[in-house]
Amino acid sequence: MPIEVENLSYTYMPESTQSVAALQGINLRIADGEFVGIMGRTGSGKSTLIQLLAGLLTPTRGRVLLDGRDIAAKDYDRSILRRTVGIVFQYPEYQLFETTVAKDVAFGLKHSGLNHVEVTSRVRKALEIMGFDYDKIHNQSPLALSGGEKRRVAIAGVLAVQPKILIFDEPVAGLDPQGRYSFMQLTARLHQGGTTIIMVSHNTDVLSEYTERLVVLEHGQIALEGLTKDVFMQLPTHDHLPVAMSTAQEIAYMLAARGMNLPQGIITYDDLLFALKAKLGGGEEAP
Amino acid sequence: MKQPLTGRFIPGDSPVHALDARAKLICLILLLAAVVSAGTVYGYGLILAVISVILLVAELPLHLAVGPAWRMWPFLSVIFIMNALFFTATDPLWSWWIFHISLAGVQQGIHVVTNVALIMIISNALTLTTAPLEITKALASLIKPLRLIGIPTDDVAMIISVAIRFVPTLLEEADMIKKAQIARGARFESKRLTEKAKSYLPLIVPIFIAAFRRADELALAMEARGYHGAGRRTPQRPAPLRLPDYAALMVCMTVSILQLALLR
Repeated sequence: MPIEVENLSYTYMPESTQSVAALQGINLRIADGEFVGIMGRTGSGKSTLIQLLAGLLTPTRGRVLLDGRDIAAKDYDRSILRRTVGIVFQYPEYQLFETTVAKDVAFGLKHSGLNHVEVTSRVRKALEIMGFDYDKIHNQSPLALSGGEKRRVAIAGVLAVQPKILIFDEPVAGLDPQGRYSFMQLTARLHQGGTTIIMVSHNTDVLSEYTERLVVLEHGQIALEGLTKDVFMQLPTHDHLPVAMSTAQEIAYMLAARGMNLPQGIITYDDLLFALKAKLGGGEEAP
Repeated sequence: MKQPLTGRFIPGDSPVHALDARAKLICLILLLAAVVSAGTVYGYGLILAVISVILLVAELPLHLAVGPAWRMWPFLSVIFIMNALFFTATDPLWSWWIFHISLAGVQQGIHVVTNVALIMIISNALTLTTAPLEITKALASLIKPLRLIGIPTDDVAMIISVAIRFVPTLLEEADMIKKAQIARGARFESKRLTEKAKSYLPLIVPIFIAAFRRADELALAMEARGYHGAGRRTPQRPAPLRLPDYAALMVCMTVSILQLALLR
């Protein structure tokens, strides 16, 4: 189910003299199975955009089309949207409320019409994807878990619905390097399984390594958009954009400044490693 | 978003917005006194004129300024009917059992309904043009004299302003939690009352947890910044009232006094 955005605008407090135009005339198409990153400084409209995509806000102007159908239309069946688009907010752990982990993860399936056996199997699967042992955890209180575990349980609650499109708002903020790595591995697996991933993040390393396409928002408009590699390549010529280069890219620039000639287009650590190997002639066992 | 009945603040840069909240609070009291003591057509005309000027200068859209009072029409109708039916039994135009419609009763009904509507419009004009925190600060400064009779006004002010300060934060958090639950399939519309109450659990539990977490964090942060109770704080001298504030006070005072003069 491709998700399309046509001339989308959103204004907060439209009645006030201090109304804020959060988005202005956005056009975007995200095809099935894409992994799209959204970058931009705080207040550039990222969160507004993903809430509009998930149908949680109603556009001031323009439309959001899921599979060609306007999700804000009166006759649109919202339950299709809820089953198709999952959204994980910045602190998903705050949405936990049930008495047991299993009940909380199953919450989204309440109106799905699935029977008890199917619900349990989905809950088990979602918890296992998030790295839990179902038999150990399902009867615990979600509120008594550690911060990281809470977050994983909350994400399992979104995965249990098995959405075809998954939206993440700053999912790696506040995670330690190990947590960040395993979370991104999980996301990559979901993506390989055919799920469309839309990820808002400030972390350029994560975006450069994992996304296929990038959208850079600035003042509620798309400032830069294209394949991840192309966007990062263009960044140095867009000084006004508040988006940093990836670390590997920065290292390549620093080396170039000290006279080491590396090929163009180094974005990820693998690119850098490959270029250095070729340059230094190191064997297979180079670091 | 549903329109709240009253109490919404619409930021703006009109002269009314710019007035000192203390002046606006006193003006509110003066104008309320004027409404209550108004008794003649001229009196009400004067108040209507003042209200129109305030709304025009504040650049408030009519539906926001008058809407909340307008939406109270069922309540206002009941007040009117009760007054018309029960005000007095002398000189009835129409009588049946215990109900007596009299001219005086109808007049009294119009009088009370007009007063309530005007009071709502005036106080609504205050909350529309003044940030809630400004109103609390003004209140805190106006209750200062109560310290003389042993009321810890600084603590009261701190409690009120912290509470009000966190209303938008918690609303925002509640909004986020609501969206998260809707996104994973929660439904908040149900016909049966027990179902309806249950359907709000996914909202209420996280909001309570969030409120306690906020309170803990705030207490720690305040302590870390050296807060030891309001009593030992050095006072912050509020900015003095400026010319427009005094002008507004004078106008409102004049309106009140004119009302009393018109009564005689």
